[in-house]
Amino acid sequence: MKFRLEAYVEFFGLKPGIAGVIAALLIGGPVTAQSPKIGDPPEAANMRLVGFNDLQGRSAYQPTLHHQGDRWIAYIGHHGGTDAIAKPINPKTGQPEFNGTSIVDVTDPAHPVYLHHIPGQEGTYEAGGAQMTRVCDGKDLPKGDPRAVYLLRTFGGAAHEIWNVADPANPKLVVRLEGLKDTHKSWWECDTGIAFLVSGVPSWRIRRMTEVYDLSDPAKPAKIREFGLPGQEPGSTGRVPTELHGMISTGPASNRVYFGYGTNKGGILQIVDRGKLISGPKEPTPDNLRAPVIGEMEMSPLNGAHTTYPLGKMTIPNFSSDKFASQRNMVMIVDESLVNECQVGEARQMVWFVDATVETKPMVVASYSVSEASGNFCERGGRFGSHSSDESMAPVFFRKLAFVTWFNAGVRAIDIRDPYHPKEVGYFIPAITAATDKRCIKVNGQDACKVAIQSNNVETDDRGYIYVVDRANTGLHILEVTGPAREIAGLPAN
Amino acid sequence: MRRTATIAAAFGVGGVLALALYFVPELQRAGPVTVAPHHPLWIETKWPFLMDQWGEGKAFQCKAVDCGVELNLYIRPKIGFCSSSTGVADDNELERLSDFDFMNGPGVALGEGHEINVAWMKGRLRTYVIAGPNRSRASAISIAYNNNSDALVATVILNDARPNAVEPVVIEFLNEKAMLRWVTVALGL
Repeated sequence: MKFRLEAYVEFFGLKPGIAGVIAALLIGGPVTAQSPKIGDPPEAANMRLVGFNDLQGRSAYQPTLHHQGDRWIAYIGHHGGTDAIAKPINPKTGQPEFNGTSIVDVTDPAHPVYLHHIPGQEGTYEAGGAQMTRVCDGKDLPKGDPRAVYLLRTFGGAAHEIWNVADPANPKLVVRLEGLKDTHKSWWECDTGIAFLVSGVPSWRIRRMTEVYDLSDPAKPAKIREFGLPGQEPGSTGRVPTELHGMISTGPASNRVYFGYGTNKGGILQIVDRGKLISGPKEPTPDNLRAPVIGEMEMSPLNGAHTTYPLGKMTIPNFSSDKFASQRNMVMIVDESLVNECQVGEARQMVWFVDATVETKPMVVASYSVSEASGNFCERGGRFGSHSSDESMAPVFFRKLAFVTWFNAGVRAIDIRDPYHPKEVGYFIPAITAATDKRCIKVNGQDACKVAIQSNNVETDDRGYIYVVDRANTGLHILEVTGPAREIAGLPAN
Repeated sequence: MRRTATIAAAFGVGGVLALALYFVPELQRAGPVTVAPHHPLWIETKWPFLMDQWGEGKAFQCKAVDCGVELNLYIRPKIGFCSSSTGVADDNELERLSDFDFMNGPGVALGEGHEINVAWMKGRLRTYVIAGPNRSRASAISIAYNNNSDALVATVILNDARPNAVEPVVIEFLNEKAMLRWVTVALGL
């Protein structure tokens, strides 16, 4: 067979950058001058470290903070293990355990105490683990055991589970919802018991869609319906719309659920009538899938919708004298970066502020991104770009400061009081440790690896602490804001 | 509820069957595909599609005199879009990866897909008739294969032929050294 390409030769030459040349020359693991070193201090502005826990060197995803009695407990989900250490040893038991869920007492944030590890599903990196966590008190759920505290977590991509963590050091499995081909995020309304679960029901054409459950009695889960974009449902043909990443409900009073599809490409924000979603016709026909949708916004295909965080009605400072529409219904969308070292395959991922005042026609009005040049982040190693924001609506930070993880640029604090003009007011880039895992790209066909922090997920508690966890196995950093950032939050000076 | 689902499924299946029956007679009257010569000649052409989130790939054409029927092949990588643990495991995953927008009309599957191999990579292939105006006889082949979490997605559009007859020609092309070298570069291997 003959093969002729007019511009064939350009695809056979690689022009490695200086970093790549250095990487190719060094033996036993290249590290450039741009990569952090063990012993380097953290980098910070208006944020400082309060406490740290190594989370047993497990790659971490969703932290959830819960006030249990007089204690504060952090429930932290984990990705699967690494090729080198697929099943890390749990020092508390002396046993190797697949990454699952860490339970840490953070009542004294300066001295967090690791209580228990619930093993997860076998697997490495994106497979296995138990990435997601949500927590509700039994006394808040309509039919929960009032003595119980329930942890809703994923079990790899296979199932959702509910555990009783009333004694966080001795969790007990309550129920498992299995038979799925994937899972990811979830949202659980503690006052109603309604839960929205990112699931992969096998008959659907997509890995991740929504299962709506009534978990008001966690011991007796009742499935309400399945939901997704038309074209994803069983029996549909042709192009498959981009998969779900997560959702956030504002509950029955506001009656909205905000879905995000397409984590780093082809992002879609979907605004859904919660009541119609729960009570409407359940058969996954295209008409029934469209029925509860109020508005949708397709983003530029170059960006995704990892997190769709409703900020609700906010007075826009510049519009405060206007007699009409001075308040806007805002949504913050956070893309997810997937590609290491800004390589081919992905455009820059960042944060977008959407005016959804006219819910049928949401519109992007502002964006926020970290300056790459401020830290030469594309050369530090690992991913550089946004990932995830805090999702708490506690008054300490809600509509004032948003915290967004940025992988090797740590966690960023953004002043969102004027969401039309968001401003960075602080950041914290944790120091790497001996546990921090490497991240690699290919240079001339060879692995070129660097070690850098990969701040992955963040959450806050009502006291004003910020919990950042690392995807590259470094652990949990507990932070607080200082200076001007602290003033914005209205916290007492520290 | 089950009855409703059964009825809905029946209409869905019936709809697909109706579309297939509408176009299959045309394909049957098309007659046998000319056997491809032993040395099909593929020429690179300009990428014809607008920019989207996956960027541009590479486009190739094999003329009817060389391949028995004119074939237009469009291939591009989708970085990080495939499951590294399960690969292109089934038709659902193949269709999630597929570039249906390249087909210029709704694609109706001609049966189930099947596994294929391209060098060290495993994948899947499925053929479609393209539902166009005036009982058009266009058809398409969608192929996806993966290296860990990176997928290669190829779409072949052909006029007036049975797409399964040209599958060997297409797979042979994808296995050519030059194509595999391009894949290696495109995936950063």
